[in-house]
Amino acid sequence: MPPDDTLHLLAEFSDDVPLMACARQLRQDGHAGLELFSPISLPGTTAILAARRSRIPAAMLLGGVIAGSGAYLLQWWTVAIAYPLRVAGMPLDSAPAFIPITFESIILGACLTGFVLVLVRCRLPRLWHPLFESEAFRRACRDRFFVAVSCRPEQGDALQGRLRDLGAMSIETLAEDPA
Amino acid sequence: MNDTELMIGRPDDRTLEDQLLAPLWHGHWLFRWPLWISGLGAVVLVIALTYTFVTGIGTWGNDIPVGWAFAITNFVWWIGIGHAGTFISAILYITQQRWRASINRLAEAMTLFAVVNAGLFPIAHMGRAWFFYWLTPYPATMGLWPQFRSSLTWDVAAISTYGTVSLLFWYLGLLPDLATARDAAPSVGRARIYGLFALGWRGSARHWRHHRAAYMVLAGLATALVVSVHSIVSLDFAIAKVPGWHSTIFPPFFVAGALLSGFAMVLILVVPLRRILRVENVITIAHLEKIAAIILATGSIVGGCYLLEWASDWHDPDQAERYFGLVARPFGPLGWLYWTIILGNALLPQIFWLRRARRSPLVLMAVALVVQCTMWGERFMIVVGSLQRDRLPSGWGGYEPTVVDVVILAGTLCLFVFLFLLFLRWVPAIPIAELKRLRRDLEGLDAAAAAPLGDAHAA
Repeated sequence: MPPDDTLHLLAEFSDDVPLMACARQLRQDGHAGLELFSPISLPGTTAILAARRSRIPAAMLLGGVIAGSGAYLLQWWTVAIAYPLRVAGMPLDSAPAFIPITFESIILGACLTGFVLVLVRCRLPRLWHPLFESEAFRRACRDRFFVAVSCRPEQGDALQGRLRDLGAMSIETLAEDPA
Repeated sequence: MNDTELMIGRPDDRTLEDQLLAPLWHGHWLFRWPLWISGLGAVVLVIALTYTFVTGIGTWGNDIPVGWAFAITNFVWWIGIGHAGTFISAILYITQQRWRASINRLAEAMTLFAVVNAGLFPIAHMGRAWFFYWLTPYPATMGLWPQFRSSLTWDVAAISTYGTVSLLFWYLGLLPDLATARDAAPSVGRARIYGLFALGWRGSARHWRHHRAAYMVLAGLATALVVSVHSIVSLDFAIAKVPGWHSTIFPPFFVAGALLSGFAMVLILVVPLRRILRVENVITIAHLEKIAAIILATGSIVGGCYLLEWASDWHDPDQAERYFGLVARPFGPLGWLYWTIILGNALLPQIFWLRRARRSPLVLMAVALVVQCTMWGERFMIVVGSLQRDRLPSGWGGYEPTVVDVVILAGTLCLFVFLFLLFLRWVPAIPIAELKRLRRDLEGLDAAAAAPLGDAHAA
């Protein structure tokens, strides 16, 4: 990645309430590209960050439909075409008997799609990340809340002052964009 | 019952974390001799299974006419136990029940290990277990395919899906807590191990957004599994023509029984563990009371099914079904078991109409143990009872288990305990991130309760 001259700041907060208030203010100040870090899920961040809703559920539906159709076709083809075997005079293409496996395959396909996509969309696994070099950030999954915000270098002091006014306990500069 | 009782005190994030991660860093006597003894039992299970694989299933008491016995009983019983974990983690999640938060991971782990045990039995029952892959559709050179019109192939799909989805759901929920363990680890070595499994989770808003979205849909899909897996298991019986099996009531009947035995197992685990691990402040009497209510509900549903069986057998045009339902089952060779089961599964849980019984750990534990035994007995009665009294009286017979049968059943119990103790030792067994969230929600409830009514409306 080419070195950019943007300044990346990471501000630390004691709890979720001041963090959310700060994020809301920064958005009103016109800062885009905010990122929050918290040990717990925070309802409402999608609206504050103006982030797009996750589309993983839609992809899971698609994954389920593909897996389910595949399972049905496989059962139909093997039982009715590839290896036809009459049992008790029942029709070869015996659709009701194919329901259980089709149903299970829909669920399996959707779940596998969802799990893989969470990793892909979160860009995981990533065992090392620049943020892990920050001493303060080691509490991000424990009891501290962080906001990452970027600005041009000349605005740095003003932004730091603003963050302190909004209740930041500590502020540090990051070498690259943490998002 | 009030949700504010779900946590005693309102510990801050760090206190909660230190408490819940303590078994990971400091060990516990639970991980000394109990772990060794259960591990030894698991080794005995491996020996008994190896003996069975080498010799053949003639080592078991199965014979004609009782071709299915302990193995299928154990399979149905273990799979059923898993259902409570899925119910807690899925149905209680999408219905936003706060009390699931502290017990869901324990229950999901219980599900995983129960499925491991259950999965052993159909494979061992094949006799030639090394050909188990014949049940999967693979392009064989002889052009043979599994017979998908047989309920046994449905079982393979149901159980493997159930195991996989349970594992993914469990691991996805675990990610944030593994990251907490990584950052809280007292040594670099342990930080690396937990870091490896945490996959680099950083708790960013982006992470949480995708995580929560997928988790919610996974919960919805797992909900479908709660009602479908044991339904499919019940079809192994229901689509056969054996008297006592050939019944449309089987799918809901099996699911209700599964939840009953599953929640009994949750109690058997949670009642002692909350004391031993000193987590009574997050797994409270209020939690136990909710579980008792579910046992009361599912026990009553199972009891209703027993009554319905009488009614449907009374009206059955098939003489063999009528004979089995009205004579052989209640008064035949396993008649004593039938009445014991009704007592244990349907009548005993009625004690939970009493608030004092629901809030007494001793009563809860006693009822759970009895229900667990009678639920196994019910599975045994369904499997063996019917096969003993098939249509032709000339084909009637008896059944006696062998020592190997009993050792394998006891061995799976040991394997279950062994795996569960390893889980308690290495994995954050009570969800840390979810309890931090819960603490904040409860503080909101406290504030609402403390404020005068007018203020609450204004807020």
